[in-house]
Amino acid sequence: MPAIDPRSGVLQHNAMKSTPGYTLFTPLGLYHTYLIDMDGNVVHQWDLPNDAGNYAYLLENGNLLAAIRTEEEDPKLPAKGGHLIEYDWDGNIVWEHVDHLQHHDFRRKPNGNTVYAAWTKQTHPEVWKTIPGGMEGEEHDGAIYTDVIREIDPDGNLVWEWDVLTDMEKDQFPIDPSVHRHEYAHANTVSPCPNGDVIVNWRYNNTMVMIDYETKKIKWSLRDIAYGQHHDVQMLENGNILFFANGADVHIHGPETGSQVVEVDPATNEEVWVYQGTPRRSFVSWFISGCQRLSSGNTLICEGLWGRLFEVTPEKEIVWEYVSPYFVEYEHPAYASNNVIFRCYRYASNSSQIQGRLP
Amino acid sequence: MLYENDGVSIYDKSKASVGYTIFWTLGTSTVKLMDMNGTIVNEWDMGGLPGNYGYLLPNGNMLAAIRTDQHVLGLAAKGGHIVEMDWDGNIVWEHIDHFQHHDFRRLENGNTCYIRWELMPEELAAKVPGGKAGEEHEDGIYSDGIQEIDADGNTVWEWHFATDIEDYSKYPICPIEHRKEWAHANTICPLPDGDYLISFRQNHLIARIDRKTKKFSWYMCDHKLGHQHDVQMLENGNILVYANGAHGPYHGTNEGSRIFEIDPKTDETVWEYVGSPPYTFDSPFISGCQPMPNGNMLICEGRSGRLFEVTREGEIVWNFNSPHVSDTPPYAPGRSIFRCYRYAADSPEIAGRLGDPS
Repeated sequence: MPAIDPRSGVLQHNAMKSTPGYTLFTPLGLYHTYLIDMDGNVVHQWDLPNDAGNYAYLLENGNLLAAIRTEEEDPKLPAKGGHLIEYDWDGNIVWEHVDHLQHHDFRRKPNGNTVYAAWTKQTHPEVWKTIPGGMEGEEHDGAIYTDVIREIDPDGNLVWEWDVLTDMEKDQFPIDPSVHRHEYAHANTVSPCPNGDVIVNWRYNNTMVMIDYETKKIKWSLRDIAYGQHHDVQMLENGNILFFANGADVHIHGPETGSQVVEVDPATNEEVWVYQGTPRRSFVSWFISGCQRLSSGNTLICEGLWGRLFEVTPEKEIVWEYVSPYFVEYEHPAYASNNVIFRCYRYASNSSQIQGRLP
Repeated sequence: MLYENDGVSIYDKSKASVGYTIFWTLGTSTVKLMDMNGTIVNEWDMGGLPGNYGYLLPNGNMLAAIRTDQHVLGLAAKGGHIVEMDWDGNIVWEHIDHFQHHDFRRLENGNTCYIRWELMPEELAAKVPGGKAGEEHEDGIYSDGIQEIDADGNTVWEWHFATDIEDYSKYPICPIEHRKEWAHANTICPLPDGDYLISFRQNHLIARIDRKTKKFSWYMCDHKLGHQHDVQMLENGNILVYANGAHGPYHGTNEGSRIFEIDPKTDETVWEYVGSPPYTFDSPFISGCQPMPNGNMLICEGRSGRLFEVTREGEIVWNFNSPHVSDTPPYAPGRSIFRCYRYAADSPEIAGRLGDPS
């Protein structure tokens, strides 16, 4: 790893091969969401009342949907949100929902509902016995926090719920042997598919699943410990699954270890496209991070640990590269001196998210 | 994110511990000695690949291990041929043991100690706890021994992990590591009283071996060590270790390598170096550290070939990103370095051979 990399801002920009648009990101530990152009200029920003939990993104109506960390019911686990807020372009709150144990991910569905992940606190040893794997005795202050996926309507009414404790065959998906038992199992992605099914990804058991919306059964899953936990699992227009494979807690012995962005065909779980760094150790983020397939076929990657956002072609050429200059310059409990970013998104100037608001 | 700015990028002459630094880039065949500006002042052509490093003796000669092609294939950091070369690269002493790996040290009495692999009998291999079931070496499980030889190559003392230490269950292999080795010794450090410190990677174990009883008189088996390297004893009796941070307890921005100074009487950490922020200092394998005469610490962040010096307060006062790149698999295009050592201009290793290193 480098001692000090003094560079930030746009490091590379190949205007011929990159995908023009605006890039949205929310530095963790800071209270702003930034929208930048291809040259790194901030063209718009939203001020947030507290830490993000864990990001924000633009809706098709041009509003910003964000999760903000609340102080209530704090289990002291990473990526707590608690307060979902929809802001208009000018930062006025137009919708909100409070669920203090919401964490990581939340998505607006086409029908106007919102789906998100939340913790439920399990203190009963009988429940713990049903949770497989992990390091023995390493629960979290007398509890294991298990995940539930909730869908609410615009009025905040619960319309659908899926509970990992009762709706999943847990024995097939044990926590990694090198990981604590604070959570089962740290859901970091909730991603609705076009047909209404829901993709959920858990970090600590290396498991991604597709949940049938009607039956609540798991209709597809991928679990391969060699990917080293993952983030930002999503279905592409071609039906393939794209995700960020962090490369954490894998057998690490040698110079060429690192993260990957992987596209698999869910019919076979075979890889159809893989991006790795060159050299491989040059692309490493063992937590957070994400990826977005762009209209050009390029892929925008968020190497979250380093606050590095970059775009690669299908041939893996880097055609745009940006390092966030927004460091946390105060004693933040988790992110002091960091410029880490959970996810980023790019929107074309003629997209419904941007059109008419910016040149 | 990787920023490989070549050469010396930080050098505070008023705070650095000035001297010459020796290193051998993995996957190359040349041991190099450089001054504080990264200028190479001497080279030894080894005619082979490292197994795993070389260092200077007080007589000015260089002791190194070279990988041989015989025996025990498929394990990391194989050596096999220990050579002592004079300043001009002439071999003045050598010893061949194809099972030697990782570490070897010249003792004050002229003897040499080193680590070697020993294939375990099946009944003992069956007792090895932990690791991923079914991931043994095709030969079985290789345990580690220490061999101490005199100048003529005669064995004068030996120790065998598999038979001198009986209660294997105290030291289980990390659950996401293979079972090829019990348990990948990567450091042998002789102590003034004849005892040895040893580091085993696969089970996060560092231990002091009593020379007479051959038992552990002290040990620490803790995943906070993160598959550690380069354990050593300081003059104050504390234990210094490079805790790699691999498969350790950290998840998030607090992850990375650490240097721990541990008081063995209490097992408490009395000094620690961690990157600022922690993830900016990270090498999940190899690596080492060396205390400097002025109290600073020279650190080898092995994976990326970064050598740097920090003060006791953690200030970086010298930083070198090695521009020397290997073209040999599996290290190409790597810059990885197992360990480095620095010697002052007036040290016995250097004095009279070179001028001002600053």
